[in-house]
Amino acid sequence: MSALSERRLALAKRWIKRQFPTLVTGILFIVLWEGIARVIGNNRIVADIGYTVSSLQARADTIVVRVSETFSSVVVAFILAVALGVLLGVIIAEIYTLRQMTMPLIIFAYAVPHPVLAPMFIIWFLVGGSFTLFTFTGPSAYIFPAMTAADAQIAIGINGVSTFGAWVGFFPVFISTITGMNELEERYQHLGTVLGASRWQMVKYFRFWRALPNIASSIKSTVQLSIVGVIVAEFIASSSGIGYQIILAWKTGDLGYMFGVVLVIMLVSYTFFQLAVWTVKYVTPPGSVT
Amino acid sequence: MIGSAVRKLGDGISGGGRFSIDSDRITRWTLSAFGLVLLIAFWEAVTTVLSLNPKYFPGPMGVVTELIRIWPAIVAALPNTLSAALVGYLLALTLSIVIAIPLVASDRLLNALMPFIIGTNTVPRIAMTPLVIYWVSFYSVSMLYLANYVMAVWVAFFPMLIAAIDGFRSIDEDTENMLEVYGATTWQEFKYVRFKNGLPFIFDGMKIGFVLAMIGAVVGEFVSGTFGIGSQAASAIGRTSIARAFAIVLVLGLISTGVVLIVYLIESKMIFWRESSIMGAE
Repeated sequence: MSALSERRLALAKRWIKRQFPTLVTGILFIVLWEGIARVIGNNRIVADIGYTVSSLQARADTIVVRVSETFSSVVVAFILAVALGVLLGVIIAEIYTLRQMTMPLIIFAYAVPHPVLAPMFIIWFLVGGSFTLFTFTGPSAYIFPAMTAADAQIAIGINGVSTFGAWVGFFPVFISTITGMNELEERYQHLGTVLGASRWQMVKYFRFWRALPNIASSIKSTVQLSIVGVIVAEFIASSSGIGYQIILAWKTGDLGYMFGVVLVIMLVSYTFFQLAVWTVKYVTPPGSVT
Repeated sequence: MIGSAVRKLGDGISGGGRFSIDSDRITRWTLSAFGLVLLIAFWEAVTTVLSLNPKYFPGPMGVVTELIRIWPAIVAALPNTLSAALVGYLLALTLSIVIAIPLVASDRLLNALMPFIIGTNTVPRIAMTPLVIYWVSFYSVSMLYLANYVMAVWVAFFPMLIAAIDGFRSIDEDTENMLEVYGATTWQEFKYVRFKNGLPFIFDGMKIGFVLAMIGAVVGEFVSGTFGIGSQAASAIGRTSIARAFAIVLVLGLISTGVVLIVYLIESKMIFWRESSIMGAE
């Protein structure tokens, strides 16, 4: 009992020690920001902390609604990206002819600066309409008593924004699946042959598991990229989401709100990233995520 | 005993049935070309057979026609976007290497700044675009295009910095001990070991870095609407013209594929001790 709690204590200490530099960086950032704002002394050039916080508070309800919209798109994008990336990666890695045939396309799709593709996704879903899988009452209805459930409704669906986010996040998973599957050690290949494994069994019992660490580490990039994709799509496409709120703040020249929204995006993305990495670490065998 | 038997069995089997990895270059190129032709033919066939609306689902011919139609406009807009991406890319590359050197040389500095670097690399930096544009427009509205340069640097810099730091730090213990025994100075450490060790990492960063610089410049144009490829792509939404959007994707994609290929070719010439891959790590 006491050994266990000692171990817990040691773990907690190590965790605090590890988080310490991040904390110091955060504090330094705040001090630096306030310092610069004080020196310039103009809220239209650099908004100080008080001004930013008050502009954030004035529109806290909008921000919570928009952030939950954006991040429900991110979740859809992330799941789509990982599922499609692994599935297509396994197929392409397994069938050599197909891999060679699609190689030019893969390189092209990898190198194209993806934001330029966003208009296509948006136009298609504009024309074809988007599917809503289900809707639920967002957290804002519980936080703000003035908000009705209808206003706080969040739709989980497949639309231009989330599919574009999935497209952007798809590549790291896809490519590491291929790389990982092809890196199976020769001895396992031989073992499989000796045991008389069929091709599918080879994939199921050997190659997929060889690729898992690669997939798990690529998920870090996928999380970041799906957030980037969703925000970029919101910049140009929709009138929803937090991406549009920054544009709105820019158009009205409201710097305090702009600072606040950017800060909120950074904080929520950071939390989301840590949460996703932690989840992946939890569900995959130990040592998969480095 | 069993091991060697297994190996023998495996030797006989590998390469049978399907193409082996070592099959010659010509086969691979033929397959790639065949795949491309097949894709275009399939695409054209689908749009013709299903008689899809060419406005929303254009065939390859429709895209080419549109590309020829808007070619003058693209040529006029390209220099703006490309110069923003290229200048931003080169700036970010230089900065990343110049800043990585003192960071790697001093452990204390690295430990202090690493949380900041990792944190900034984790958050979506692209979300700062409107803020950067706001500041630039505050400085001078007529020079709004400068925001695209800033965005290109801002988006491309951090991954390349991390690649450079990782590269300069990739040094095995034996070498480190040897340097210690010889009493090498920090500069000698870099000159004889770290630069060369870091090159593969830096090249990987360079490949993804160009794409990122391009992304920064294009998104800058999306938002600010300054004349360039990005704003033309965004204008395709208003016209709901997929052919136009596709033509622009084709042009930009070919350009950045070309640059990535060039970096790859330089890399495979310079780094003879390791096999290079065309796709850099993220």
